[in-house]
Amino acid sequence: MNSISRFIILCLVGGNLVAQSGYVQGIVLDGGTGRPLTGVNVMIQSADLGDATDLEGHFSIEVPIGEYSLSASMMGYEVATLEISISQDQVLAVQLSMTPGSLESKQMILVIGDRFDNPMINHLQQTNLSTTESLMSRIEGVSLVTRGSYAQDPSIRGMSADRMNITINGMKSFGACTDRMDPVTAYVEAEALESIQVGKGALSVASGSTIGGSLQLTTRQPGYAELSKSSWQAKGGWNSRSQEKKISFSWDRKTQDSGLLLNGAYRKAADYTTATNQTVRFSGFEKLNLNLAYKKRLNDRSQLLLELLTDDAYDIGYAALPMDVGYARMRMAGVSLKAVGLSQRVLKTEWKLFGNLIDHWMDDSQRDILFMNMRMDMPGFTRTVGGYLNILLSPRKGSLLNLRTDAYWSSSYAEMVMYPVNSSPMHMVTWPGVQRWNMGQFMEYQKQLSPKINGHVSLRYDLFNSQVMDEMGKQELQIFYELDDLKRIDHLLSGNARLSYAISSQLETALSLARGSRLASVSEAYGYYLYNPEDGYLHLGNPNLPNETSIQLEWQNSWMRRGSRVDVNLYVYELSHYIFSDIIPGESLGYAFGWKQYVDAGNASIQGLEVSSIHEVNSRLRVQGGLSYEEARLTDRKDNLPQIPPLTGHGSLTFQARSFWLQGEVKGSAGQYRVSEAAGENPTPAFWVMNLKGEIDLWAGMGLNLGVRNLTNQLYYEHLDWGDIYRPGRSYYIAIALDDGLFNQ
Amino acid sequence: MKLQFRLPVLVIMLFMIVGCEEADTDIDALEDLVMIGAASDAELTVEMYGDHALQVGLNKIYFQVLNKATEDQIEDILISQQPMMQMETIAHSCPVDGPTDVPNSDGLFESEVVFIMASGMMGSWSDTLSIHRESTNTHHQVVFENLSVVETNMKKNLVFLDGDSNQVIYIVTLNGLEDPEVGVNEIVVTVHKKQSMMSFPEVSGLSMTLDPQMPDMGHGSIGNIDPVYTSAGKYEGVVAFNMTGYWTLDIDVSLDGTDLGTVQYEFNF
Repeated sequence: MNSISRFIILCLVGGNLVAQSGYVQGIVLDGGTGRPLTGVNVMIQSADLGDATDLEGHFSIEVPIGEYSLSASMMGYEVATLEISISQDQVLAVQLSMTPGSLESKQMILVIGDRFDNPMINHLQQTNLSTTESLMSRIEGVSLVTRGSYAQDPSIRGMSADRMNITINGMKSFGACTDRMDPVTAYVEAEALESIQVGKGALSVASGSTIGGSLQLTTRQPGYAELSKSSWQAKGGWNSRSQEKKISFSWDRKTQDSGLLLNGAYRKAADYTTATNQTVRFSGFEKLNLNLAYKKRLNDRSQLLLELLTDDAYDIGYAALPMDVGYARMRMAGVSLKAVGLSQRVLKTEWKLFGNLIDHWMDDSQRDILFMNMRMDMPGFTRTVGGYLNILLSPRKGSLLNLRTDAYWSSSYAEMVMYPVNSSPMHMVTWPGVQRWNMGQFMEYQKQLSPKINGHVSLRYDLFNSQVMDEMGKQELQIFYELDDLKRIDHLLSGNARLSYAISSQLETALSLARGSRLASVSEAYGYYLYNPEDGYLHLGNPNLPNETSIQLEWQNSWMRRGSRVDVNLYVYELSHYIFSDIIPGESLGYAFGWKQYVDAGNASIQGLEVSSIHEVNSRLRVQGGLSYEEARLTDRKDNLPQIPPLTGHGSLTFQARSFWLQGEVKGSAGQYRVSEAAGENPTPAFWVMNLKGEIDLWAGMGLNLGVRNLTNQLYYEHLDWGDIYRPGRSYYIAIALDDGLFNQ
Repeated sequence: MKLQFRLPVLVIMLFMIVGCEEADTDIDALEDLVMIGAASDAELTVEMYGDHALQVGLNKIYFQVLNKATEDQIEDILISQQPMMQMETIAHSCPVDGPTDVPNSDGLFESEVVFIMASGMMGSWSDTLSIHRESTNTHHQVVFENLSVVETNMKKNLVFLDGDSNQVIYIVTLNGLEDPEVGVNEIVVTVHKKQSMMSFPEVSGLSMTLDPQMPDMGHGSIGNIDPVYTSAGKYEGVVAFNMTGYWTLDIDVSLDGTDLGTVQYEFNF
């Protein structure tokens, strides 16, 4: 922004001064194989300039004189950045070497900068009031389970929390709420995010055995600079519907061999109103997120990274639940050592140690109508420590081998106390101090079989040891299970194989076969008296559950041409030992319909289709669209699976000029009538909404974001929203972004 | 000799010493029991032990009979006992089963006594033992006076009319819930008929239904097992409490399909 504005000013003042520019040209190579990479997006964020590499890996960008950060991004590779300085008429030749970040088939959103992501993958216009959740939901197949206006639970192809693996900078952590009010994605703010990688199903098992998929959040990392410098950014915004105020800042210090980055965001929202101006009570919240990262170059090959992430949220309303959250607190620390290019064979090693604490306190102190006419508290705590070692090898030219060893220990405890007016408090343990040890071994191998055919296999083995430490919690479960100790040891095996074939330079097809498996979650195995307001039952864990497994077949096709890309994915999952909650026969409890117990419900199947496309009409106009549809059956019960998104589509048109951009977006879903009877789901009607947003550079170092959400003021809710609570009506928002360019004129 | 050879020998010796010491003391089983009292006549001393201090409800009692002079344990005897509550104007006994004719492996004579009221201002409990020693063919009487029996509120009367419209009183005690816990609580319900002040025959053949309720929550619990008759007026079952708090427990009693009534207990923990 800074440079563009300056650039515009120069244009206005000097006309011919436009000629004060140079060129950066170069080649992008695969760090592992040394071959040129095609279709890499090379960008200069601050100047809104970019190019994609051609078949020989070359790119060329004309840039105004100045200092920039050049970045190259491509699916499956880590983002490579280079600080450059361009003087007049200089032609700077650079070589960028990209390290394969993961060889697996993943989709990724890059949220670097304000405007661009990797247009070859997905398109995103981040605005000041974007949330981590809304960014994730831009990926085809990712939807959000909503229980309030805060902390939605991501779901990949209809499989959520317990079926998914979520990591933050590679670190495992587990939400501390028995009602899933705090998916760990809630502990990272959009401003702090650098990328979100989504692995669908068992196509991505590097960070853990899974069935639903993996979500890897990466926060912004500090960088280096040839000449020491500091920079900052600050943003402030406001939304009319929920009166949400958001302030965020980022400050960094770069030197030749160290980088320090501090960023934070504060949000406070009141209850929002729907399209009919009904206030949705208990939908406000307050939140402060702070992150600190320090990077130090130890030598020309290795670097040390220290990071500290914190998040504190208060008085979070949950409109769809009978209780709110008094506070939710996360502390996460990590230290890692990364070395690249150790030898011709050893391309990269990384080890990391981490730990985190999550404390979550549910209460109803703000409510005047109390569930069961009494106050209650439900605190929950998780503690996790772990580490991993990752080694990337190139055994021979054209092949890559990635080895990973990881381990973690986690402890989950939750309890509930109810306070009847004239009687004794009622206390129970809802997560009985479950301690889990996990040790995992992962290996993946990729080989170019012919110039057009690539093969890839990966395999993961997991050993889990689960124990129940709390005596009272143990005794509660022993009412139902005649087990002396509720210990279990599990072995999980998952993996995938993928063959991709480049039919032509524009068309690529890939066929993957994967086997996924997962362990019953803490709630599913050991949960006790977990009230679920969506189906109205108390849920009981089952320590005897077998591991859920899946076979997944995926056919991915992509057609790409410079500036355009269409992806079509077809998939089928066959799940065995599907974990599902079944009614325990018994009387109604008044406030709940009764008890449900997690059981092995036999086989389930999911099949669907995802289409996404992006087309750059010209350098200013971009069209993007996507569609996803799936059917999910609980085969043995002749029922549908719950919480399955209906046919969903979205489309957007973006106009990009030098000093502003404008985007119109439509999204909608067909009705969902294929509902789960056993889960007591209701059908959800169809809806569509329109959003409009834009940004304008007012001045050097100052930009303005404006937008309208739900332009036509539709009254709607989505199928994955709990409690069928209407979404906000038409809302306007405004945000101002400032950076150090303001004073550096 | 090197330590690695000496060590096993030392360990074995240590075990032998420990073992010998244990054999020298009194019977191991007594260490787990609570001594309630001792009484004697000229020749015999009888020590009374329990699983716990005596309380209202079912009490398992163990008698150890010793030669007063030598303190040797005596096992060739037959014992009968008569607990008695002496109040100002009246006296009554309580349901008793035992002692056994044959001592257990530790030489203790086991007995079960269902105390139906606590000792205190109202009166005090005594237990009179009549002992016949076979080897000497002698009779002995030993009296335990002023036994302390603690109130538990676990004894209830179930009163109903029988087919001939006569009032029948069943004495019901609930055992195992003196200190209730969240989770599974194994219980023993005893039922004895109050035939006279001195006669309390056991009642068998009853059907029982448990109904724990949490009035503040408006529901009961699941995981209960209705008590089933085992022996000597005892019915064994399981009560499951899902959480702490105020609970009521109804035990509904019926005989051959005829409902005899319900006794109710309260718990607050």
